[in-house]
Amino acid sequence: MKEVDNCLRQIAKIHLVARGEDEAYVARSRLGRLVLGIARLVGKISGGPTPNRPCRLTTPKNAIKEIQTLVRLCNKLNDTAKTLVQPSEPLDERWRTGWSELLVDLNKIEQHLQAMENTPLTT
Amino acid sequence: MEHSPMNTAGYAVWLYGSHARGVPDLHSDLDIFVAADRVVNINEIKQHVPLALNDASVSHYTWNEISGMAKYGSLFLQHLKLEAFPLYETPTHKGTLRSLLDDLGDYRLAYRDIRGFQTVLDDVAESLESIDEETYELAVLGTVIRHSTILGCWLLKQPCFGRHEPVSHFVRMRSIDSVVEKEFPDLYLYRLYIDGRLKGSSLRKLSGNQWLKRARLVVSKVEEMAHERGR
Repeated sequence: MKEVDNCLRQIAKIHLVARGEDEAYVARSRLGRLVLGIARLVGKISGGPTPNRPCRLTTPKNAIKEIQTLVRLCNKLNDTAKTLVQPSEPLDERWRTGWSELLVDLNKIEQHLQAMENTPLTT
Repeated sequence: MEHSPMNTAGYAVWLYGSHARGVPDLHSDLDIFVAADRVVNINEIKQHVPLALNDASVSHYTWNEISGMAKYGSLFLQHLKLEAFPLYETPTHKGTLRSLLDDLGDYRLAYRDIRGFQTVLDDVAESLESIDEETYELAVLGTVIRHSTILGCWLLKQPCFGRHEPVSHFVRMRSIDSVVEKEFPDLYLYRLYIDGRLKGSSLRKLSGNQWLKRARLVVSKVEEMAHERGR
């Protein structure tokens, strides 16, 4: 699915920041793009609205388990990312120390998206 | 002067941004800077600060982070130095932040920032090729143009940290097409929308590719300035 591919691509790009291959400055926009991508994916699968800005997600009514999990993971990522990239300029030190927590969230989302890609979604 | 990590219980609360400059508008946040090694919640601040803080945008930094930022002459700390003032400081930390700001050296990470701006623009270019919803990308472009012109103004030795002023000033000083200055406020509305400070109905339709081209031009002019200044 195009939307899942897009989210996985964004995750790969955030990993580049974690590995120091890209500047910490780009983390904020990449995380926002990932959260937006997930929000649009959730909207598309559940038949709900597809937002045009990153936002805290609400679980759609009668959502399948995969979507419920994705919403929970995405909101957790959003909360972690807020603290990490909140400063007015990128703080390499904060990014390094906060990365481990973000990495845990990111890996869970990545695994979940990969599983969704490989398994037909059922209600 | 070397600033070592301080008594970790004390904190400082400062006001900066448009309210500190005395020019807030409808979209302005109340920008609060908190230096502390622990979470200082809004209710604790309210006990000492007679302002309506419910909608405040609070940036929290530890003393160690601030000391680290001071070592490279952080632009954000330069921003505070220029316009911010204390609302409350615990007795153990009275004057600590001011003293640190007074000792700030010149900003040393211009090239790092420029690389960051360029990478973000590459991301936007890639995204614009694959999506038909440009709202988020326009907001990112507005942010990069503002941040890069803040750096540009600093390199011009004419520091400027407002929402639109750095763009206006840098565009004029570097003879960039005046349409960038004229239309930038419309672009920045996308940033305010993404931040939840504005309704989507207030947005004027803009072209992502056109603004990407303008952003690349602005960043290239900032890079030229950095070369001229040997940063």
